Amino acid sequence: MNTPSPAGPEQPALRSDDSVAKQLFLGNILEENLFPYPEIRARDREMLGAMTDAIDQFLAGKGAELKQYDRDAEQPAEFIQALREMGLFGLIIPEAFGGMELSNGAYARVLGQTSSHDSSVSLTIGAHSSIGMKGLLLFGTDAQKQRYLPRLATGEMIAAFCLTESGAGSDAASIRTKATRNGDGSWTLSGEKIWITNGGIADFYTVFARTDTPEGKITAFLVEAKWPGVSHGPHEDKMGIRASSTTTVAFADVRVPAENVLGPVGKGFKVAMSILNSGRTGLGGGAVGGMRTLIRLACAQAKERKQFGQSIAEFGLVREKIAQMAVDCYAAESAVWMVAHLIDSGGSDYSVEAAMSKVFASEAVQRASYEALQIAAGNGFMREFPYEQITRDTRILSIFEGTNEILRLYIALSGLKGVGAGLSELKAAVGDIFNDPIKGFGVLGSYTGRRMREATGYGIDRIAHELSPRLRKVAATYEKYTVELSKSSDALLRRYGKKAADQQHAQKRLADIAIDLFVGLCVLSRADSLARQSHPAADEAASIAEIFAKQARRRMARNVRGLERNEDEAIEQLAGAVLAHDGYMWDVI
Amino acid sequence: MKILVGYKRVVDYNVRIQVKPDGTGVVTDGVKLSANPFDDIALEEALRLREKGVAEEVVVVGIGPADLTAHLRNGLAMGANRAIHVVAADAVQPLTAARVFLKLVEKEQPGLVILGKQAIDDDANQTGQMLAALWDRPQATFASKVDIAGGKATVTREVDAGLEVIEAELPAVITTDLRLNEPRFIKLPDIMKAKSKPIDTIEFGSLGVEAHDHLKTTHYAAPAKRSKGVMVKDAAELVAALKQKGLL
Ligand SMILES: Cc1cc2nc3c(=O)[nH]c(=O)nc-3n(C[C@H](O)[C@H](O)[C@H](O)COP(=O)(O)OP(=O)(O)OC[C@H]3O[C@@H](n4cnc5c(N)ncnc54)[C@H](O)[C@@H]3O)c2cc1C
Ligand SMILES: Cc1cc2nc3c(=O)[nH]c(=O)nc-3n(C[C@H](O)[C@H](O)[C@H](O)COP(=O)(O)OP(=O)(O)OC[C@H]3O[C@@H](n4cnc5c(N)ncnc54)[C@H](O)[C@@H]3O)c2cc1C
Repeated sequence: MNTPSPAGPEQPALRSDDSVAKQLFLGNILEENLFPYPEIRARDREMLGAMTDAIDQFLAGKGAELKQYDRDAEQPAEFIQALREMGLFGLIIPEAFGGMELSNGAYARVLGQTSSHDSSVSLTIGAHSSIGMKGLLLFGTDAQKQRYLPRLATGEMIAAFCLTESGAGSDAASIRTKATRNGDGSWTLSGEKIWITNGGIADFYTVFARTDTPEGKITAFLVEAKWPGVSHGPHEDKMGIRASSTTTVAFADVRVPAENVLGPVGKGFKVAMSILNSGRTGLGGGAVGGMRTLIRLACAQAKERKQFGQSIAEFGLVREKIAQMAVDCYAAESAVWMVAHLIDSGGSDYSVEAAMSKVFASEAVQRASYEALQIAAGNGFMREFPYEQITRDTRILSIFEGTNEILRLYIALSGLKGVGAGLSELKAAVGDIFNDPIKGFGVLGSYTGRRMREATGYGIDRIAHELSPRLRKVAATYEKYTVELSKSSDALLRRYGKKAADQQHAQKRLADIAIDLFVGLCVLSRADSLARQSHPAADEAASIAEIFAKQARRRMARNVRGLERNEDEAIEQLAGAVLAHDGYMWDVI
Repeated sequence: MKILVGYKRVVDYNVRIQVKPDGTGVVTDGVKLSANPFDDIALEEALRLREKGVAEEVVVVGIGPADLTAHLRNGLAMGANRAIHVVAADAVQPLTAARVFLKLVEKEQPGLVILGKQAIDDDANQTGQMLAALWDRPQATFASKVDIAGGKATVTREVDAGLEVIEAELPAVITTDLRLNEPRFIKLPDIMKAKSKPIDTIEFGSLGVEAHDHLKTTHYAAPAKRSKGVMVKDAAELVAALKQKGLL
């Protein structure tokens, strides 16, 4: 099932239908989809400046209230009403239904602006748009859209996404909430969902339930909160994003009419995954917004604070943190914006890129919040300052919408699958002489040999797009390690065959190489475009591209080496011992 | 009634102004620009008059380069019915601006023109007064309260001695003071609505106004940095220090 794009008609089509990320595992840099760096749509450019200004005007004066909502663990009804009036629930809904029809890029940018003030605000509006009602936008029938979108656009109805259960977190396919088909075609839904964002304030739930029909195991339903049998628990007392409503949502024999099935019966799991894949740029945009704020705070703090007779902004170890935050922020932004563009251009195969941008952006903002707090030191630890709240608020980003572990495995396995498919294509070409192509060493040997020849070795230009000498050097790093990634993937499949799927340590390394490649190529492409436009900060962007490439090169080299030589086995054993002991087993006494 | 509102774009009031190294002006490249705050107040007042039923149409007017449209869209997002963009590559001085407004007044026949009392970039505080003189109509400057009834504007002005209330027969020119109102926030759907509102563009050259620069700016300089304070022990030392500086 392809995910239809909600984007408007003015999107330029992508030049290749292939996935940039998956192609990296095959040793290919799909440069036609990476260069030139996508430009913001004219319609968005015109509106975005005004929108971000309006959001600043709306939230900048509310600092004290927002902090209080964090303490109280609730956004009061008046504030939710103000969000409605501000139009923040209609961001991605088509104009025809009363929304603003923002592209994914513009939406990510708007969430960045709200996040630069407060993460809980972003989550309330983001869970509504990115996941709560996204399914209706992607898979809804005209009648369903007609019925709900106008009210969702104004925020008269707030939406939530109900997938997770106490027994089904990462393993979302194991949900127990059940829907059975009645004689009249309607369904009876029962079960309990946990940790549902907007659970306590939503009027509209996208619910996933086990249906075990001949068509498939899971089906998605559109459920109204006011229907008999629907209830929610109290707001959870959370570490961060405390003001955002998180509750259980229970369904006690709720009758759901046949017309409220979302997407095909039995295809609910794919519906859920499509929603999550297309929603990840919102999260990434939010992370970027948080980083912008952290960098601004860190600059002010470092310039202001004097120790040893000078401003601490003059010390190398402080400057290093500030520069690294800028590199991370620019890199995350470049990747998130690129993925948003891939979706906006009607690409159908962007789930791996979306996962990469989510993993990178969530970890980048967590690093930045650690370092910004460290620059403020004692002040950073005090609740009077914003650092501790940002640290708490951003911690969730590597947990929800797919834990970063699960997403890394997904990235690696998706890449390996392509490599494996390449091997079976080969099998078709040479006939049926090998029962197991993955273990067919002889042919594979020449196959990889051919692939490596195609890759034309190391240090030889493969990105045809013309680059300045400075950036050409940067490109060489990615050219080299794209080949390394494909070689390592081949080697892993050859060594483990089907068991490669169990090699999580190796998968993590492959995923990290691929993430560095994808993010680095986005950084490179954007630096190149800024240079061509003579952007006033083009030189700094080029040095970010250089810094990122050097750092990524060291990480990638370590990961490539680690695939061959590592202590994985010892680690597995030690983990086994510690687990067997139920804890740490040494003491000095 | 139709209200014309002046809507000038200036360097945002939050920006720390930097003087160009050669002293020929202030840095505007890459600097946030936004509406002159007094003009936002003027527009807010016009919108309130329209909401009260006193006026039917509010038209924002900007004079400036081609990229001024984004700025005028903000005025439309705030609620103006339409915008007029007088396309002029260079900044105009107050007398020229007043002459441009006069041309537009002749064309549009507004019942009221509301302008900011001054723009925060050149702080000239002249355009409204000059327009009233050229138009030969009453002016009510520095308004802190405006009532319109029976073809008259009753305007409260904050003067040194307290409050002064004046009456002006319409059509008239009003200029706004800071305390007249608090401009509304723009909401996101308003930005969408603004997209389809009309912006008429008029080439400056087609208006028959001569851009005569009566004033010549010779030099810009940043305010002198405040020098460090000195700590004194007690009142006696303070007096001594002030005397030494010749301040007492
Ligand atoms: C504040 C908040 C808001 C949320 N909002 C929503 C919402 O709106 N809607 C919704 O449906 N859900 C929501 N969730 C649920 C969220 O998506 C889940 O918490 C997330 O999917 C992880 O599931 P889990 O917490 O059960 O962890 P588990 O799945 O139990 O994972 C525990 C740990 O094991 C690791 N792990 C699990 N499986 C594997 C594997 N195969 N290989 C390697 N490691 C593995 C994980 O990475 C993790 O580190 C929310 C959660 C929170 C905390
Ligand atoms: C909860 C808490 C309890 C505390 N308890 C005590 C206590 O019991 N007794 C007590 O005396 N103090 C106490 N402190 C103070 C604590 O020791 C200081 O916060 C700490 O020494 C850091 O000083 P600072 O916060 O002023 O940071 P700063 O010294 O201002 O440092 C700010 C940042 O600049 C960096 N930096 C500073 N100088 C340099 C340099 N030359 N080169 C490179 N980087 C530099 C720092 O590493 C830091 O990242 C406590 C602080 C907290 C938060």
